[in-house]
Order: sequence, then C-alpha cells, then structure tokens
Amino acid sequence: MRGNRPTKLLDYTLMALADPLRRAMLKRLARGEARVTELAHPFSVSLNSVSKHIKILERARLVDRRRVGREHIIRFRPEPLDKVQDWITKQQAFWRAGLEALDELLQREDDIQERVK
Amino acid sequence: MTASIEARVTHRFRASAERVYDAWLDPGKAQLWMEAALVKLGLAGDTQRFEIDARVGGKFFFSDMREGTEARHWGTYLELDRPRKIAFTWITEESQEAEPSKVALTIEPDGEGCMATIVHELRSEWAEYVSRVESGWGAMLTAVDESLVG
Repeated sequence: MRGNRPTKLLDYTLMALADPLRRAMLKRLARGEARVTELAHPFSVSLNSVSKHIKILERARLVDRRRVGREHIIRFRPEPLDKVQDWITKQQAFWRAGLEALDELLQREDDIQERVK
Repeated sequence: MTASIEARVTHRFRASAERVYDAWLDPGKAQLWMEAALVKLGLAGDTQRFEIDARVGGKFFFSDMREGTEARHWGTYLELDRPRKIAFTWITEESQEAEPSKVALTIEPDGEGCMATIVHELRSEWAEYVSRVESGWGAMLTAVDESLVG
C-alpha cells in the first residue's frame, strides 16, 4: 500500500497546502463542517473546481466527507498537519544528537591531547 | 516565523570550524559520532555500512540496524566549502530520489570555537511553493490553530 506510507502522505499534505484556495477552504472548514455548495460560495469558483480541490484535500486526508441525503458534508481533519510538525521535530532531534555527539568526540580528542602534554 | 518547511538546529563548538568540518567528512570519525548520535536517540547505533565520498557530486551512504531492519540514509554532496559549508541531499527511501530533501551545515568561526547550524529543508519543490504564496506555511498553521481554539 504505497499510498499509505507516511512520506507519501506528507507529500500529499504539502501539495494540498501549496494552493492558496485550498488553504482558504481549510480555514473555512476549521471553523466547522460545510456542504460542498457552502464551501464553493465564498470563493466564486465553480462546483466542479471546488470538487477537484476537495479531492486533493481528501487524498492528503486533510478533509473527509459524509453523505446526508444528496448533500456531501466536508469536515476538516487536522491530523496530517501534526505529521508535518512530527517530521520537523524528528529531524531536529536527529541533527541535534548528531552535533552533540560530534562535539563530544572532538572534546575527547582534546582531553587526550591534554593528557599527552 | 519561517515560510519554508525546515528543521533547524544550532550548536556551539569549542573546537575550530576546521575541526568540525573535517570530522563531518572523515569516514572513521563520522561513523563514531553518528553511532553515538543514534544511541542518544535510543537506537542501537549498530551501523552496517558507512561510506563517504567527500567531493561535490560524490555520495555518502550509511545504514544501521533497527529492530532487524536496515535503516538506510544516502545523498549527494552539493557544496563543500572548507570550513564554512557542507550541503547535501538527504534520502531515506527510493521514492524520494526525484525530489530529495536538502541539508546544509554552515559553520561560522566564533572566537576560538565556532557556531554550527544545520538546516534540513523538506522537498525544495514544496518549500518553494509554500514560501512563494502570501500567507505561507506558518500563517496557515497559526490560522488553523486559532480557529480550533476559538
């Protein structure tokens, strides 16, 4: 299941967030779920276009939809944003550990030099 | 607040910029501190392969065992400017080859020691996108956070 791998999902998240209209849609959805028609209205774009944007957000799992009668209700899912933050936190921990370990190695070299003197 | 998606860390060394630069690229030393770093992170630090070809366009590869699986890391050196800067791509699986993340280590002399900064930038293509648009990534997160709180 390639599509479920975290790095792929991270790509989808970043791609979904790269578009100003999709970010505006997410901001609207962060205030509460909305019907597709409601979501299209403030942005003066066609339903067809909004539908495409929603698909990209769905692929990134930033939104999900449920059906109520003939209406589709779109809801914001903030979890993928946490994934991006997780990546940043994880990489920071990795490189911080690297620099600290490198520093300790150089300090040990200095200690050995001192003892030789 | 930064517009690109990056992880940034800074560390002050008592050692000179030259020593930090050289220890980063010396295969024997780099393996030692990388193993120690992995241990700091709670991993075994059990490296399998460790290779450095320290020239622009040259590659590095290292792997360590994590619960029976080999965690691999590789990339290409993009910039080598002793003792100021080492830049390289950073890849942990084949699917990232086309659009790798980039790491830059900059080393500024500071008294007898130096200040080292690592910036790990996620997929330059997306980072560029995000920084180009007006509100940017940071503003997005803030807006979403505020809406959730409110």
